[in-house]
Amino acid sequence: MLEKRMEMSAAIRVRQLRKLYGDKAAVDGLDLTVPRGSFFGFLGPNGAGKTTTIRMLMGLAAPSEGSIELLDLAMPERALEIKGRIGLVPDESLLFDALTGAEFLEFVGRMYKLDRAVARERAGELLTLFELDTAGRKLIGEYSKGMRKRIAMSAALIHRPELFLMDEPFEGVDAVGARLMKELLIEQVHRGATVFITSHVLEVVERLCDRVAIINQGKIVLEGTMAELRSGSESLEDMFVRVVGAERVAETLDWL
Amino acid sequence: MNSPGGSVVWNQVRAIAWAQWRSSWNRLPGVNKGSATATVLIGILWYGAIVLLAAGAALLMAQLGHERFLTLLLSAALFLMFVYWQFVPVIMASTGSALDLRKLLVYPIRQGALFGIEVLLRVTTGIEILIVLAGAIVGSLLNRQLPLWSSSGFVLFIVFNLLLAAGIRDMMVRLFAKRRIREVAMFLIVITAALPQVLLITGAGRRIRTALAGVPTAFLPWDAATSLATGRAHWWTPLVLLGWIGVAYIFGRMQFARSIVVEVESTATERSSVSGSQRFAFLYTWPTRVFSDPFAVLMEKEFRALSRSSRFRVVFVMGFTLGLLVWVPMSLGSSRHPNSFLAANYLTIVSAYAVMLLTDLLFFNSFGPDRGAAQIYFLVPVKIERVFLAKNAAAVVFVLAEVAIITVVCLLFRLPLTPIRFAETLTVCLVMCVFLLALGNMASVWNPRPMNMAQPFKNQGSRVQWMALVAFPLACLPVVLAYLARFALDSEADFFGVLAVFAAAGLYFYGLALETAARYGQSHRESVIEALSRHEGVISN
Repeated sequence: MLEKRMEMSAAIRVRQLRKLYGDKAAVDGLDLTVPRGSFFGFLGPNGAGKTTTIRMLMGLAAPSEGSIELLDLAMPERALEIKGRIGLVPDESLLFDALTGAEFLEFVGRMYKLDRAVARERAGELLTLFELDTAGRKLIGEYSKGMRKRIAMSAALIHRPELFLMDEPFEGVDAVGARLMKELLIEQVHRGATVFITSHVLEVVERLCDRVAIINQGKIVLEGTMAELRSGSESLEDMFVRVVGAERVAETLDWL
Repeated sequence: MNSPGGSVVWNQVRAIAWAQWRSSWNRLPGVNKGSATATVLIGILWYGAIVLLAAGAALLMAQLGHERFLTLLLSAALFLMFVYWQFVPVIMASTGSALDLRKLLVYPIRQGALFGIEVLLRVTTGIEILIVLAGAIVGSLLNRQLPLWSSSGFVLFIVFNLLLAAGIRDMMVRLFAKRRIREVAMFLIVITAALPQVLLITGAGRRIRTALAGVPTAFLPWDAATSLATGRAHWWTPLVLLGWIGVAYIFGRMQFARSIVVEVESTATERSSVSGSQRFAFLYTWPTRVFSDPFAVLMEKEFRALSRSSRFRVVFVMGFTLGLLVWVPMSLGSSRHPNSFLAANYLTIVSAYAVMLLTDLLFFNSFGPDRGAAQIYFLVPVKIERVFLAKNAAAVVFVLAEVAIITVVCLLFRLPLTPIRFAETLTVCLVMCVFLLALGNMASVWNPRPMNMAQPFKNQGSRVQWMALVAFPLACLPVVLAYLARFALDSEADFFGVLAVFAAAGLYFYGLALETAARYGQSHRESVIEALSRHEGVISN
């Protein structure tokens, strides 16, 4: 019964999702349900299909097979409606280097149909929140990697979305920035939003997420709540290494 | 174990060449087949014409005797080749392929080896000249009247040009890295590049020639090369050419060493404060007062991003500086034909040249300046047609601004200008824009290329440039037909009538093309984003 209700109120529902590049399946028959209001961690080793999956969820890549529903709306049929309700941190290349941080945030806000004055006000507030107010008038091209990540995060928040899709959101961010971002995301979950993140940092996922799925070679190899996963004696790292089959100790090279 | 000395350098050079080859090869599967076919066809047409010229050069050299006329012709041809090789890349704001030093300086490679590759890469801006000179070398080897060493004149001339081109390219890159002097430097270089043309047209060249009549021309590189190539060289002629090569080498090495320092210190984008530009914020924000979002904010973004990029600024400034410098003397310089077509239509010609310079940036690769960030257009709740429309509207505004500036400069210099000519220029440019936008929207998703907007000059080889030069006249065909109608019917009304008909047809074509481009862009968004996010190899194109 609970399962049925969860199914009905899913923020993300993916069925038999496949993405082929030539003969190779980057994502191979993925089934995934992310309940609304959850903080969902999507893990996997390099090349497992995480980024391809998240790009298909964002609508940047078309699935070869299968169906995607976000916020109970079908992709790509209701793409415009969905896009207006999700916040994205794909990667830092999303940013326009020739705009200042303030201009970029205003641009994104207005693209999400916010009134100009509202977009400008929120942009200012987000810059202050992310301690970018002095950098707000600098071109994004001059930003450090961490600053770029903060501005991308601000852009994802500006229209108060219901669902966040984030690809490695904490990568390259210093401890202060990462902490702020984590607190903000937890707050968003508390207000009912759903957060879906990919990350290589298992400690972050372990601390933040209430549900986790591990993908390997395009398939989900483990899925459950953190409570379920913690019930065993293994740490998340041990479990991860075991399920992706990476337990073999690396051989040393003669010449090294 | 490392092998000693020269073989290490050779190994590194081979590794660089191999890395570049693999970078290009690995991209091939992602290349649009239609685009590749068009490129090959245009290449066959263009280089076919060049090979014909080379065959002509071979014939000429094979039959060259002691005719003074042919010797003069050869000297003039070599001079024109020198101008083409050294100055056309500047005029076209295109400097050919170049080493991406930022990726290579971390390795223990000798500067001399890098400079050697950089010199060889100058072939990319003078490949046409090399083909023609190869023809001339074959011809001179077949000519039994000429000594075997005569072809060395061409070889030394090529070496001189390669070294000089490397120096000029590095000097330009270094100059343009300094933001404050960038536009001034551009202006000066452009004027220098346009000088031979201006002198030729205004007749000032004749006066200068008379004044310099006593100065021996045998010491000029093209004359020295001619003397060697025609077998009439003095013992010191090779020394003259070797001297020029030495000067070009020192110049090239100095510029290369300096540009390494600049490349190390520079970041991927411009370091510029935008505080000053707030005074002119109204120039960016006016669409908000006229249109609603997202159209308005998209236009604003185009205005801000493009006007802050050095590549766009350089091309925009060239439109009304170089355009006027080259075309106005040509149109108005001849007092014998005051009512000629050129004289009557100089404003339109200068404006059309400005539009041509802007073609690649504003029309044919409209997502190129955004690079990977173009993916935002597929992520936000906005139809891709709207994005095209806003980008197109911004492009038209830039073209109108260019025409307005050209007109104001003409009025300031009291050049003959009537309201009807201004109306004609405006109409012609707008009709051209409609067709260019229609073709350009399709090209933008069909063959998207990331552009480094912080570089004032294109690093493209001649391929992309000639594609634009072939597509541009095609887009301008309706305008040419309107001029033909005016010529045949001798009527302004018919001229504007034909333009109006084509404008209507163009708008219909634009609508169809927009729909096609949007549909193609949406369905091929992965490949479009992938192409725009692509990083270059060790040699940037």
